[in-house]
Amino acid sequence: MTNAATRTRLEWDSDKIRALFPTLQRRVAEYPLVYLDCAATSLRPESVITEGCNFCRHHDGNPHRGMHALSYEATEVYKSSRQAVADWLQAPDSSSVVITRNATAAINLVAGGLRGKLGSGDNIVLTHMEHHANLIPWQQLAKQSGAELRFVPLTEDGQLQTDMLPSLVDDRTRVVAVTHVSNVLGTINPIALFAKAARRVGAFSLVDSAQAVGHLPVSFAELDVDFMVFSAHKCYGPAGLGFLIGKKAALEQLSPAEYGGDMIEYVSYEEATWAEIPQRFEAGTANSQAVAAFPESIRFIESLGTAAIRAHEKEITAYALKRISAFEGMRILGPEDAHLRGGLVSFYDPYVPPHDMSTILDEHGVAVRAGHHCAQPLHRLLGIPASTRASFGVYSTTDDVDALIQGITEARKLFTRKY
Amino acid sequence: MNLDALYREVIMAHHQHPAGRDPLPEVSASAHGYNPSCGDEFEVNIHVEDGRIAGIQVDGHGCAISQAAGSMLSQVAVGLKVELLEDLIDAFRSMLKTGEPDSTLPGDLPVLSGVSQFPVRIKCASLPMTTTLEAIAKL
Ligand SMILES: Cc1ncc(COP(=O)(O)O)c(C=O)c1O
Repeated sequence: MTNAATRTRLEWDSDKIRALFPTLQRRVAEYPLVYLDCAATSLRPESVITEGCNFCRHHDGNPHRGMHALSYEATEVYKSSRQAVADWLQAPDSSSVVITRNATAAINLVAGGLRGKLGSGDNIVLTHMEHHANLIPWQQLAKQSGAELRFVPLTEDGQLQTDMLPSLVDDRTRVVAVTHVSNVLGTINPIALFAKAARRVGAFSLVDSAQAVGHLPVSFAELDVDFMVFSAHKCYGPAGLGFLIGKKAALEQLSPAEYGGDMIEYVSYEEATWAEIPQRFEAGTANSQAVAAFPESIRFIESLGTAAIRAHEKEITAYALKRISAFEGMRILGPEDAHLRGGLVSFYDPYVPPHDMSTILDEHGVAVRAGHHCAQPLHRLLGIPASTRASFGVYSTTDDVDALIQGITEARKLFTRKY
Repeated sequence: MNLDALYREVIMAHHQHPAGRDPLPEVSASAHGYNPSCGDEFEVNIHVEDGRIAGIQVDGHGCAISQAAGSMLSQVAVGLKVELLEDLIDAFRSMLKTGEPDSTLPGDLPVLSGVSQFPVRIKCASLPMTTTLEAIAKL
């Protein structure tokens, strides 16, 4: 493995990196694909695809369930995958890594696991920039328990008003849940501050790291949160796989929210006892080839180094911010400074509705996201119905941004003409 | 696929100067339509007298295609028997599937046949229509 910290920017070889991604070889509407939708799902390098296929070709057993060779091997694959995630993100140990379907399922697992444990008078502190995944599970928990939802508001430039934390987080706060990097504004949030505020009052802290893992250096230990969630498909891994990392003491306080095979110990017709953590939270068979493939995603990311990836994405983001904001009247969502943001830029063009923008860009081979990006309340708060988002990854280049700018220019031509 | 088939001048003209926005003095039924994937939104009010559409307001915001479709609909609906408007909307929606311009459709509606080449946009052109059907269902 390469030492991330010692890699210099000079070693960043875009052509070499891009050659690892088979999808980048394809064309869209006769143009080479310009993929600027990494925040929705990242493309996968060949090595990750191959690793998933290899599991199907050679092992293919159901883990934990059989005594035969294939099942044993599958069980080992799960073990080593869990260990790889724990080592990579500095989780306490492999038993603090719960395998889920995606980040959304991981948050539901925590919110569902707290059912019956909150009451009226309690409160849950969220922020105004949460993805629906880190909002609706808590809305449901609040409805079910009578707890109050509280929100950390935004500053003018799309950061969190962390000075509000002392007044929002009080001794009836049971959960503080916050996104690591906003999937709309791009803002990188000071997670340790939220974790500290929660710890002070004995509340659970959860960080939604879906847009952070694979893009920035992330350490569970350093953030010192109770729970962290992310999805493999947003960090060069397979779809259908996510993770919940939890401190042992925090996981122990969750009730299982899904029941069935694999999550039990002793079962009678009337009763059951639960398996140890993490299996307790893993009812049913998971996506085994995805579990098998994900360590290869980690190897790929670490071959570049998260610090170098961060530096690269920051450079592309700064360039994109400069080019997009040069359009007359264009509104950039989130902080203006690339240092404060992850690798994405959402914008609102007063002349071209986002959906039309995306269609026109698609006709130029440029893939962006248009809509509310699973953050309807945030868009309402910003006073816009939807936005267009360009998001970056290891394969993104300034040429990609130039293609985006070219597309926006064409879209503006079409929409600013008088009909 | 090409953009000219989608962004025809007539469509852009409707987008820039939409018809049917004025509030009605009397409203028989209303419906609200929302496309959660892109944020297109419509409020449709209809006024019906003796089984015919006496007035329609199609107010909304969103992409050019949805706004143009709403504007075109508002121009042809008034005076139609309610059942006829339902048939017209059905015919319009079939056109979006087949892509064949349906010259039996009134006003500018046939121009929207090009949307069929952009499957992800069919919902945009349909939204004001389905919202209108919802309002009719409430009569
Ligand atoms: C910040 C954030 N949280 C959660 C999610 C949900 O991820 P998934 O759909 O993989 O569960 C996303 C992705 O859309 C996201 O951007």
